[in-house]
Amino acid sequence: MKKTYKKTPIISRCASDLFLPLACVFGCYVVLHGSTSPGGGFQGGVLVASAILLVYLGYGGMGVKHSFNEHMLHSSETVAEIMYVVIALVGVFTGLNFCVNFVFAGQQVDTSILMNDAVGYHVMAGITCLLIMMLSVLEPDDHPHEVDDKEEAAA
Amino acid sequence: MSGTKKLVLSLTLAVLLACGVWAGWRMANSEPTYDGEGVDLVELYEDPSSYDNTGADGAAAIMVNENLEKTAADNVVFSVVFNFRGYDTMGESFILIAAIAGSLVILRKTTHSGKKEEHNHEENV
Repeated sequence: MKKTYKKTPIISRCASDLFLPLACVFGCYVVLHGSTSPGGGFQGGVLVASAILLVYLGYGGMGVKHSFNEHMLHSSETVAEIMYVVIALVGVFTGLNFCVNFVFAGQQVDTSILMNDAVGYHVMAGITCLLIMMLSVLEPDDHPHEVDDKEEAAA
Repeated sequence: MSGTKKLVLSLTLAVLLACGVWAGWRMANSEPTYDGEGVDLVELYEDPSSYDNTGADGAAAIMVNENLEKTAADNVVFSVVFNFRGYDTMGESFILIAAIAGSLVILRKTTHSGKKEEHNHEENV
C-alpha cells in the first residue's frame, strides 16, 4: 500500500485528531454567537482557520494538500464578500440606508447576523488560503514517497 | 537641502509643535469627561440595565439609547460594527482580499494553466 503522506509521531497525530473537532466547533460557536457575545466574524473565522495548522502538525504538508482545495477556498471567499455587499444593499432597495437592518424591533431575524456569517466565512476561507500558501513554501515535498517506503520496510 | 526648504520645514515643525503644546495645555486644564468613580464592575455585569447612560451625547447617545429601535440587535458593539459602521467592516474585508491576493502573487508556484513550472524544478535539480 502506497502511503501519500509523511509519517509523523503518533502523539502529534492523536493530539490533532482530538483537538481538530474542538477547534472547529469553538470557532463556529464564536461566529454564530457574534450577535450576543464577544467575538464575531473576524475572530471566529481566524479560530476556524487555525484548524489547518493542527492538520499540518498531525499529517504534514501532503495531508493538508489532500484535505483542502485552495482554489475553491479562494473563489468562495470572494463569493462571501459579494454576499455581504448584497445583504447590505437590501437596505437600500427597501428605502433605507446602506447596512441598515430592515427587519425592525421585536423580530429575532436580523440581517446583520447574516452579514456576520458572511464575514466569518470570508475570513475563514481567506486565512486558510493564506496558511496553505505559507505551508507550501515551508515544505517543498520534492520526494514525498521515499521516506514512507523506507519506514514501511523498517517496520 | 536648500535654504528655502529648510525654512519651510522648520516653520511647519514649529507650527505643529505649537499646536501640540496648546492642545496638551487645554486638555490638562479641562475637566475630565468620565472618571470611573462609583461604578462597580461586578454589579454592572450582573445587572447591565442599571448602568446610567443618560450622560451620552451626540452620535453615542443615538447608538446607546435608540439601538434596539434602530437595529434590533441585542449587543451594542455588534450593531456598531455591522450597522452603524458597516462600511468599515466592508473595507476591512476588502483589505483582507487585497492582502491575500498580494501574497498569492508572491507565494504561488503554479502558472495560469495550473501546471507546475518546469524551469524552477530543473534548476533546483
